Amino acid sequence: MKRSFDIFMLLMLSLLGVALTSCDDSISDPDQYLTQELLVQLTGDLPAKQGILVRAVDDKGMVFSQPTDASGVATFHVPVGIYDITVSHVSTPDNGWRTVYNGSTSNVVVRQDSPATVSLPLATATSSAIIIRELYVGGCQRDDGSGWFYRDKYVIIANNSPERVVLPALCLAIATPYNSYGDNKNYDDQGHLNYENEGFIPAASSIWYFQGENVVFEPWQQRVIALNGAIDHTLTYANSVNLANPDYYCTYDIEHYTSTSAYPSPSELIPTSHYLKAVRYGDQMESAWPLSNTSPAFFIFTPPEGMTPLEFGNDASNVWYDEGRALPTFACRKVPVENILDAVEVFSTSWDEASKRLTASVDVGAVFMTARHGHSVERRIDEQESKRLGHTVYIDTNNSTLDFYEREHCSLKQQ
Amino acid sequence: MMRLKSIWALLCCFALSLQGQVVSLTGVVTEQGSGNPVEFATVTLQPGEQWCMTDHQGMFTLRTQAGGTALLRVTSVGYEPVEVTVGMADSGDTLRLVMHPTNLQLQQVIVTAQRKSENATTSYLVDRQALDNQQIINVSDILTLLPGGKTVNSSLINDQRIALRAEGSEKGNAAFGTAVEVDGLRLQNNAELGETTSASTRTISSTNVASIEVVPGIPSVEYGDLSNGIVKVHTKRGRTPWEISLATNPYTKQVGVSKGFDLVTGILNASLEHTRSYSNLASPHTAYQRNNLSLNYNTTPTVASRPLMINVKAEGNVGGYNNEADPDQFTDTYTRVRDRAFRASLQADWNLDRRGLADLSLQADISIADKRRESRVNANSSSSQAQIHATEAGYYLATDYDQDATSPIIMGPTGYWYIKSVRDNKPVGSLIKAKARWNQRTDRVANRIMAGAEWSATGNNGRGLYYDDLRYAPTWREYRYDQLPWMHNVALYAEDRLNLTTSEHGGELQVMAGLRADITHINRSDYGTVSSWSPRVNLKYTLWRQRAQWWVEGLSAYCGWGKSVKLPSFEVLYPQPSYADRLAFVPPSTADNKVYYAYSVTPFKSVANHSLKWQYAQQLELGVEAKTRVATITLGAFLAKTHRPYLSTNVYTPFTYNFTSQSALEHDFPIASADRIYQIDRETGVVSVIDRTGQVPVQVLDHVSRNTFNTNNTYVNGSSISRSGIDWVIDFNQIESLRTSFRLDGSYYHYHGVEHTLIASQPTGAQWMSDGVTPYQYVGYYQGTALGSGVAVPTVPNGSKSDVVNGNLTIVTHIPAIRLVVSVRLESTLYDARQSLSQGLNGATRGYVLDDPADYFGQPYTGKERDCYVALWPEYYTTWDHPDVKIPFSERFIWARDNDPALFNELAQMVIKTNYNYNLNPDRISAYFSGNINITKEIGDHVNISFLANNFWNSMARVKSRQTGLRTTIYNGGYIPPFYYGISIRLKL
Repeated sequence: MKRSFDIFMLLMLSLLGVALTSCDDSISDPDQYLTQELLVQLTGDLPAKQGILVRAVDDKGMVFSQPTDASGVATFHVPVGIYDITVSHVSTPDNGWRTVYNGSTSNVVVRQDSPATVSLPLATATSSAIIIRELYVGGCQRDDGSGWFYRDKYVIIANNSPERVVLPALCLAIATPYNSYGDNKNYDDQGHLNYENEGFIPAASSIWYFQGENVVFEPWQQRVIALNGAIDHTLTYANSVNLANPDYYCTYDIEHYTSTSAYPSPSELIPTSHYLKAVRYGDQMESAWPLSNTSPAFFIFTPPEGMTPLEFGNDASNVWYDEGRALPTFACRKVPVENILDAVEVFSTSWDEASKRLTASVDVGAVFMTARHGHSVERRIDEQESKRLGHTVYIDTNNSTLDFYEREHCSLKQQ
Repeated sequence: MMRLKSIWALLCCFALSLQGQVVSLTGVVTEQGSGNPVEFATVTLQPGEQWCMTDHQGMFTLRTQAGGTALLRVTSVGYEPVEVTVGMADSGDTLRLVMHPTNLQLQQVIVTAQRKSENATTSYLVDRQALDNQQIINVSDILTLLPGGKTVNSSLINDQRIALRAEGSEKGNAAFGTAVEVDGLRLQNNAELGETTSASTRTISSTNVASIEVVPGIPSVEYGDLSNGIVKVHTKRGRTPWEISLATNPYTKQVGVSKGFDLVTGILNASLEHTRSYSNLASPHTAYQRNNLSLNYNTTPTVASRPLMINVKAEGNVGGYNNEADPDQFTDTYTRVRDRAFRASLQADWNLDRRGLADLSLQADISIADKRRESRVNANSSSSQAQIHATEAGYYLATDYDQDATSPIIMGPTGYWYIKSVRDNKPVGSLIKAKARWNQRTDRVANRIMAGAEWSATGNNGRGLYYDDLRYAPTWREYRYDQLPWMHNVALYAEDRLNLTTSEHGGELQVMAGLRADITHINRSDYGTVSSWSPRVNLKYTLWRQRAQWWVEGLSAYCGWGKSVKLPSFEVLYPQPSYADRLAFVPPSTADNKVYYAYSVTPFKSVANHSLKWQYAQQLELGVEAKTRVATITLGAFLAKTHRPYLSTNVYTPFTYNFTSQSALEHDFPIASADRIYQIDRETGVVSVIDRTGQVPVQVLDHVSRNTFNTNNTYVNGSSISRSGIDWVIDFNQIESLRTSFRLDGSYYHYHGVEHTLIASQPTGAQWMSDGVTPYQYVGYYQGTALGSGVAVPTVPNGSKSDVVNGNLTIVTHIPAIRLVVSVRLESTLYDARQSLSQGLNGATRGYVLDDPADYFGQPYTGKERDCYVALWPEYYTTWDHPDVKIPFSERFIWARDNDPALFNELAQMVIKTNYNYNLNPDRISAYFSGNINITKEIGDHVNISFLANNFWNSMARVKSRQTGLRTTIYNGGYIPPFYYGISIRLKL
């Protein structure tokens, strides 16, 4: 009997041993996944390295997140595979400005045989409290089925803080090429934008700026800017929006952009002080500011210290040519990245068919949008911060992928 | 007037010197096999080109002067030409000539353009067989068959125009200088508004063409109003059998019927054709159609015992472009473009043969075209737009259509609507021409003098552009073509052709010298009446041509020099007035999106340039022809210079207008929006607002003045352009055992054109001064432009040069026993080098080499630098305040760089740069090739089938550009035609 018991116990211990051995990371889990350790070391000028969230996304779209430790290392245990790793970290606000740390790397291979180690440098940029809350450029369907109407574009710029922000000037700009799809000839043979390390973003064609010496945003204040026609478009196009509102602003400088179809006279409700002025230095043949209807790279900035928007736009020595083509049509002004308050990169096609125009220090991602059906891109709400401050706070990590989403109906469209 | 007297005196002297003994040549022409007489065959005696027609019995009689021998040539549609050498000593027996019907049983067939060896200038003949084999749909495509020609896929969708010895983007209006005639009737394009190019050939029935003669060389002085050669289309005439043609290819379907009817009094040849082309296989509803009816009546009554050949021709075409049935079009929208034409001509040739006077000819032509374009488009807007129709200078305010339908500015609708527009365009041309010819012949000398006069008139009976409903008519001004004066041209010309026999082996010296005077009168035009001279001389020396025992059986050389003047088009004479419409008042949009815009309107009429001279071309050519035992070789070289080409340029004059913005209506404006009635002073542009209720007095709004420029247009004479080239054809004799012949043809073409004319310009990137509110105040004056057409604007290159070598190998296998012809043509471009040029006058440098595209300063560009951006500065500039003071640009610009940033920014806008760093690099495209195959098979005597496949191996090869270093595919790259195929069937009953 005792011998039988001893044999039984021996079998049980053996089974226990097998069971314990199977818990090792290097052997199959119950779902047959092989896992391995992935170590991500953040580098760069970080004030505090602990607690920064690192995302790893595998080629099937599975997302893993880990905070960094005190030495700036995030340790993952992930299935073997190929990962894209991104970091978008925003510091706590300081007098209306924040520091944004962005970094990304692709095609990190995690193999079964040994842990993978990645060093991820972070680009640092300052981020203002002034943000692009929503951008509507895609237009809508006409009532008669004859196509789409696109001259009802608008942007909403917001103060994303409880503090009053005073800017010496505020300008609207777009990067080139105007659309995200198609051949972007500003990439070099290594796949990098040729101005990536130059510290500027090219502002194409012309810039628009608010009148007056200072642009003041009260706490949480939002400004709607009609980008083509500041009138009630719904009288003709039921799917469009009503931009005739005394609180709205509009890009309207009829002596510089003389097309009254692209820029109909603004509604009598809108004071002329709400008109933004244009400085044209590029493509003078365009009847309208060439803001893409499908996929712009849109940004807002303040001119370098000591310059007015007019002086900045007229500065012939600050020229950069899109595609390296030295024609007036392709003339851009170089906007220093440190002067860029916010940006959004919109794609209308998949990443494979699109090219980013904003560099990582300004915007590391992109938001997808379908044009012609009343959609817009809008910034996501930071639920945690909103609860804390008792007001809607928008996410601003200089990463359009994370910060924005596509709205089925633009916010000004009353359903 | 003294000039005319001189010409006539010269002619009389020649005529009086021409006296001699007369002999009669009598003959009969019959068809091989049947023995039937061949009626209305043309019998020509060479040299001298004395002619007559056969009668119903096939009989002919030619009275000519005795002495020596001559070449008798008989031609008739559907038959192979017959040539015999006849003695001219005295009247002999009746000549019996047999003509072979054209078919593939013949020992020789020709499927390419053949050099016309009897001419003393370069000229090629394309006959019906070659046209059938190539399945030509549009006459303009025959350039394919010339030496070094490139195949195009024939279609009617593209209104391809003919330009001889020139390429598309060159300066000098080469296409406009190329003339096209159909049976002697000139297709006029002078009265076309909106284009300056050669006449469209889409309305010519391709199935009705008997042959086409292309004269890129120096034509007879009989042909004027040209500068780049002439294309002469000859349609069918005579008693031809029923011929039914059917052709199809992926983009075109064609059916044609023709027949020559014997009407006892003469022969009526009738032809009917329907051709339909479309550009999109998936949507054949959008198509261009040609429906052509041609009637050609010939009769030869005897008048005063001498035959009088009368040819009356009427041709009509109905068709054009239409997409109304296209289901892809939006509801009730369409574009319809008529291409209707009516052409009629009467030609009478009286074969006198009296006292040296060979014949008298009279020709009267008329051509009427209807090119009405009608379109209906849908429109929509959420805001009202100003629809400006004002034609007089002043300030105008937009008005509701319902208040005043005739207002100079109508306030456009909001919502959805349709716009129907019509461009009524009806060019008309007419011509009367009379000429006489004197012949004299001795044993060794044949001399022919021709003298003639012609009067032509061109005009346009169209209404121009108009809209059916002014409520929806966008900004537009009526410009009636039918109110433009006609252009009248009188020409006198005289020409002497001398043939001197130098040996019994066919040695001959041929001299052709002529002078043409054109006197052009333009009613109500600032250009008035002008005259021009066109002398032309051709020499041809045939060393021998009947040395059968020699390896070189025949050898001749020719040369020529000529000047030809191209009359200006209506586009040059009467350019459409333009209008500058500047916003003068912008009130805000009302609640229903209405805006009562006001505009300052300034009309412009092109500035007449009293020093404008007529464009002309001088051409020099040399050639050699040799017939050897193995091949016939022709080699021709030409040098053509186009002088004083028309160049459209801008003229700037200072102008001030007043502008009132929305801000004038702010700050508690006392009149409510709904109660405002706006008024604008037509002279001053001052805006006042009236209170509809009458409670508030009239409010006058503040305005600002804007100093700007009015831009007007004028034509000047540009710098000369040179073209040169060599054409060669080597036709190897057929290898009889293989029934195969080879032909090598090719061309070398060189072009060089640099423009030095000073051109005023405000660059497109320069519209405002540094303060952002003052319009740009400077006008730059630059040396030259690279553009070949349109209004000249300065560019960094001011010209270009090109060298192109094309070579074709045609292999023709002809098996008469089975009536089959297979031809394979390999086309190549062996050398294609081009370069944009930036050259100053007299070897001076022009432009500056930049280290970086963002720079403005650099080293002078010498033409040798590579891979660099180049900047062009204006020579000088003027200002709004002092438009007559020329300020040297360079010293002011350099000073501003160091001393005045604002001025530097303003002047920098006048600097023009090259697009890429390689723009001025020389370019050379590596060689590329394509191949076509054509098969023609006859089935019995009645059926003939042709098949073609262009680019039959569907080449996807790549070529390398030396300029960019890039390799690109030639597939769909414009280098070779896309793969294409077609089949045609001809029934002869």
